[in-house]
Amino acid sequence: MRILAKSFIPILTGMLIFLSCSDDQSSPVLGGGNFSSDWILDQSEVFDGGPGKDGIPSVDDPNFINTSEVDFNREADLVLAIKINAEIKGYSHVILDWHEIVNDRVGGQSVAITYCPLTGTGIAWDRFVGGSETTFGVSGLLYRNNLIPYDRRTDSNWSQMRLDCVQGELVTTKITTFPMIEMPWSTWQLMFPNESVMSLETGFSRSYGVYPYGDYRSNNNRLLFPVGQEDSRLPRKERVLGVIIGNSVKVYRFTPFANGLDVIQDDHAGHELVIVGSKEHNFMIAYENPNDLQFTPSEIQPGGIVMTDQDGGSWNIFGEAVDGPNQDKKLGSIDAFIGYWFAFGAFHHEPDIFGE
Amino acid sequence: MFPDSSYHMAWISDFVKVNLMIVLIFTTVMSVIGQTCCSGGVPVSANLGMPNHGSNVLQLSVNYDLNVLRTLKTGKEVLNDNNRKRTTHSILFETGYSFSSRFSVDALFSWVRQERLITNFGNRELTSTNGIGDMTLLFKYLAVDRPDFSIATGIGVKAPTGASDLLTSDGLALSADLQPGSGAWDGLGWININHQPMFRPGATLSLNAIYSHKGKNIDYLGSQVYKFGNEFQLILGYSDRLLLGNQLLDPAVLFRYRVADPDQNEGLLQPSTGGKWIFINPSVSFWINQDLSFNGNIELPLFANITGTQVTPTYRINTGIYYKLKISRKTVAL
Repeated sequence: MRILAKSFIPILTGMLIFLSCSDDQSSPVLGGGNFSSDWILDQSEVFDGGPGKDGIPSVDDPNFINTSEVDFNREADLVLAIKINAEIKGYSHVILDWHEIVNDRVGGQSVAITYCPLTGTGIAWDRFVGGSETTFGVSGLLYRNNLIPYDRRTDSNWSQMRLDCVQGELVTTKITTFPMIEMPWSTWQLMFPNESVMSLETGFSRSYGVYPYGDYRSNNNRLLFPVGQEDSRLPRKERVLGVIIGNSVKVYRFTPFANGLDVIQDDHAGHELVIVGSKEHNFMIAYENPNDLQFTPSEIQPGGIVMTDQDGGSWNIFGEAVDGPNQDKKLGSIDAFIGYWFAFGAFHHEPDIFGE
Repeated sequence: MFPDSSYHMAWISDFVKVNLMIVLIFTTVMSVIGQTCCSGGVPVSANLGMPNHGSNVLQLSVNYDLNVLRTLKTGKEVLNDNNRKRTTHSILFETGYSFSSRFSVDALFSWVRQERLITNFGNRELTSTNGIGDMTLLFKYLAVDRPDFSIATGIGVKAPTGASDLLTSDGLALSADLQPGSGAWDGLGWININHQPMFRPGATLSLNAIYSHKGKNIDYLGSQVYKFGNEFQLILGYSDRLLLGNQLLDPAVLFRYRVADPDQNEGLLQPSTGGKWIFINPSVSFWINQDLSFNGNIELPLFANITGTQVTPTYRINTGIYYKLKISRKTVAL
């Protein structure tokens, strides 16, 4: 037994030296305790998604190519379109599925294109928060299946769908968004044949074009993490447009837009809204209509022209009059984005559903 | 086969020196790895199955296992990204007792440290858990026992003695693969075939097959049901017995084929889990005497075809000591 002891001691010593030298920055404890932190969310609903902080790397230096040069999108692949000042850019889900955040500048404005594959929500954020410019990264955490970005300047955590800071130095700070429209590649090509699209030259090696979540997009039974409350009025994975005004949320389905391109004028939470969309072309977007203009749909034309006003002026999908007596007028921006129905049901108590 | 006792103390002295050197090198290497590091899985199944040395023999082993996953792959394709590192450190305590020349039982206990390290954007983010892992019991029957050929089979169970609900210091739940335990009862089937070839009496050809039927963790993240994928392993090995100077040693090489089904979450396949792997595992055991040995091995992947995109094994190191003790009736009586 002395032999055993002599041999065992150095091995065990080695193990202990190594383990004691390990840099343990995160000390887990057993579940069920009380935790002091500055989260304004119920921590029991925040989950570590697995890849870890920055395990899904944001793209901070995106490259762009012309629409005509893109060979990686299939016709039905979705693209997020944004216009700030005169610049239009497109960001494909094919890339966003693997990176979730792109820190970019559009029209001279610092923006973060945030996309959560699990809630299907793409939202453009102003990167100027708390008085300074920052970049956002993927925290690896999820709240009700939704992305929690963190800002690299203060290390604060934010909720993509709540649109506010939920932990850290900037807690409760609201985020400013920019209108962004989700559409399939086929529609993008009709609207923006000469604009810029983010290229696959991201600086990372990923299997772009391979959807990383199996049948998640179409399987209504599949949720990867608990979501707390659920609203069963619509199928979980039905893509809807959510319009958020204050604490009031109204969602729009594709069903009313079944006849080609259509425009709906509606009111919500005391605001006049214009919702333009097409089931065929697979997009919806909403704006505030403070001047009570009347719109009718038009044929989709390059430049994103989708409707005309009562004076015959053309308007584009970004809510801008491009000609006619109202030229240079703009519809009002509101927080509106496409996402899976379950996500709106999880974040908001019984949202209104247009027409139901 | 063993040198006579006049050499015994000298061997012990040499062995301890060699052992110390190995440990020093080992800890130095580990310290370097620790500065940049990560994990993967507790090597429960692959360490199971002690030989039957006859009735009333107690066997003990203590092993340290380091499993490093740093290779990001999609299917068979290696992606050029090593910013994510997963490491599992396991200390495995295994004991086996043979009730007779036919029946025996093994028990495996583990202590596990899981680490995840992300080095991206100039940051270094380490998340870790540690604690007692799951415990495994394997009941074995030596069905064929000839001098040059044996077949043993066994069935076992893995009990969820390890924690599967550890949280971060912020109180946030960690995913299943970062937990020391699985939270589920698993069933195991095992078969071992050994053959001593005529051309080399000291050599052994071995074949191990292990099937692990995974149970369900019904309290995953507080409200979900999670099941790791069932797995099957086939381990083909060749070992020899050599006398090098005064040192008796057993070099061996193993080829391990592992296939794992995708995990299931709420009854649905979990994306980017499961796959097929082939590893090569050269090893050596140094015998101090006929009852005590020190062993070490390194395992490297030869082939991997994984489901979806995963960080997959890069290398594994395992080292430890083994001791067997014949328990006489007199000893028992004491």
